Amino acid sequence: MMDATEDVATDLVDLSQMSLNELRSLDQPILSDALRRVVEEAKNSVEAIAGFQAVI
Amino acid sequence: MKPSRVSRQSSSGTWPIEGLDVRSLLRDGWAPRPFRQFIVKLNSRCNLACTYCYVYEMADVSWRSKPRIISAQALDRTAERIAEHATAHQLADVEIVLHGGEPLLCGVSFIADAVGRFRRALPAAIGLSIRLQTNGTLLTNAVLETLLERGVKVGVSFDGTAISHDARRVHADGRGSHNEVTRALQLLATEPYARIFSGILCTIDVSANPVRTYEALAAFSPPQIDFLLPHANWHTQPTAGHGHWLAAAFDRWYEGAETRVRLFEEIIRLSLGGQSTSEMIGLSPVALIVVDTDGSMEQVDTLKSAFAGAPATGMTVFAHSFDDALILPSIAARQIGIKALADSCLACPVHKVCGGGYFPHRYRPGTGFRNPSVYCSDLRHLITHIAHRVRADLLERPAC
Repeated sequence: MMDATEDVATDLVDLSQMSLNELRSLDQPILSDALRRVVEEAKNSVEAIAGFQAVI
Repeated sequence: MKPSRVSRQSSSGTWPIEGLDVRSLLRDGWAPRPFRQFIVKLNSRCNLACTYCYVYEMADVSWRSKPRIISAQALDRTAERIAEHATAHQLADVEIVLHGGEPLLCGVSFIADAVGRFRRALPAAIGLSIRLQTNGTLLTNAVLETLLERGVKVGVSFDGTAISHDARRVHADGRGSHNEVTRALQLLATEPYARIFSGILCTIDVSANPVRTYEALAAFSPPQIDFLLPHANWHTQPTAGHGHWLAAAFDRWYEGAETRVRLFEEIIRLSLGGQSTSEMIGLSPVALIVVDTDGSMEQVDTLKSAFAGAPATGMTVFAHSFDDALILPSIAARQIGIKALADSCLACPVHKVCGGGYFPHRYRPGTGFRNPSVYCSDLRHLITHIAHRVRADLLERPAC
C-alpha cells in the first residue's frame, strides 16, 4: 500500500494566483457557491463525511 | 449493460476481507469515524422491476429470504442502537434514510409510526433528519401530507424522458411508470409539498440525449439532482460513453444553473481542493450503515451488484452495536481514504478527485475492491472536462 502521493502531479485547480476579492467577484453562480463552501470548510476545519449515493 | 445474474464469487482471498489489517491501522493511529447516516430498509420488496436494479436484478438474491416488512422489534432495536451510537460519540446530529425495496409499500401509517419510534428513541439534544427515497409510484396527496407533518424529506428516482424511464423503470408486467412518477413529481414541485422535496436521482441511460435528460429532470424544479452510473464492475462491464454523456450534461447545467447537481458540484469542490460528501466520488470517509428488514447490519447494498453476499457483515442490531461494525475490514476500507486506492490510482493526477470511484464499481473477481473503478476512463474524462471549465472561468477571465 502506498502512502506518499505528494510527488504525483494533480489536476487540482490552483487558486493561489487569485486574490480573495477576485474570487468574490465571480459572476458564475455555481462556481461562486463552490468556492464559498470550500472556504467555509477550510475555515471550520471540519472533516467531511461521505453519504449514501442512492438517496437524495 | 446487461446485469449479471450469474456471478456468485466468494469474497475469500479478496481485499479488503483479506489483506486489510484493521488492528494494524488502529495501532498506527487510525480512528474509525462514527456512523452518521443509517439506511433503514422498511420493506424488502418493490412494486417495480427496474432492469438495472442492484437489489433484484443482479448477483445477490438475499432479498428472497428477508422479511417483507421490518418488524416493530427490529425498528425499536435499530432506534436504540442509533441513540446509543450517537450518544457514545457525542454526535450533534444523525440522518436516517427510509429505503427499500419501495418503502411506501409499508403504507404511510407504518412510516409515520416508524418515524415516531426513531424520534422518541433519540435524545433531544441530537438532531435527527429523516429522508425517504421512493420510486414515486405511490406518492399521493394523503401520503405527502403525512410525510410533511412528520418532517420527512422525499427523494424520487426518475430517469428523465419517457423513453428512457419507461424502457427501464417498469412494472413486473413491463408497463412503464413514467406517467405515475410524473404526477408525483408535479405534486412534489408545488407548495406545500415542495418544502419536503429533496430531489431526483437519475440513473444514466447512455443511449439517451444528456441535455434532454437533464432538462426533463430540471422541469420539476427539484432542489437537487444526481446522476448515478449504472452498477457495473470488472466482471460485468458497462457500455462505453458515460464520461462524454456526463460532460455534455455538465455543460448544459453549468450554463443554466437551474438547480444543483450533486456529482458535478462535488467534482468542482474537489477540483478546488475541497472535500466530498458523497460516497460516489472523493476520499472522504464513508460513514453510513444499512439495516435490513431482519435487523441485519449491512454495508451499502449497492455492493449486491458485485457478488452474492457482498454487503453482509454477519452482525445484527439485536446482537451487536454499531461500534462493533466500525472495525470490520469492509467498513474500515471505506474510511481510510487514499490507503484504499490501487497503486495505479495513486499514479493518476485526478485520484484525489475521483477517489478511485464508487467502491462497488472497483470490484474484480479474484482481487476484490482494490482496483480502479471500471468507470475509470469516464471519470477521468469528466473530471478533466470540469477542471478545464472551472480553470478557464477562474484564471482566464479578462482583467478588470
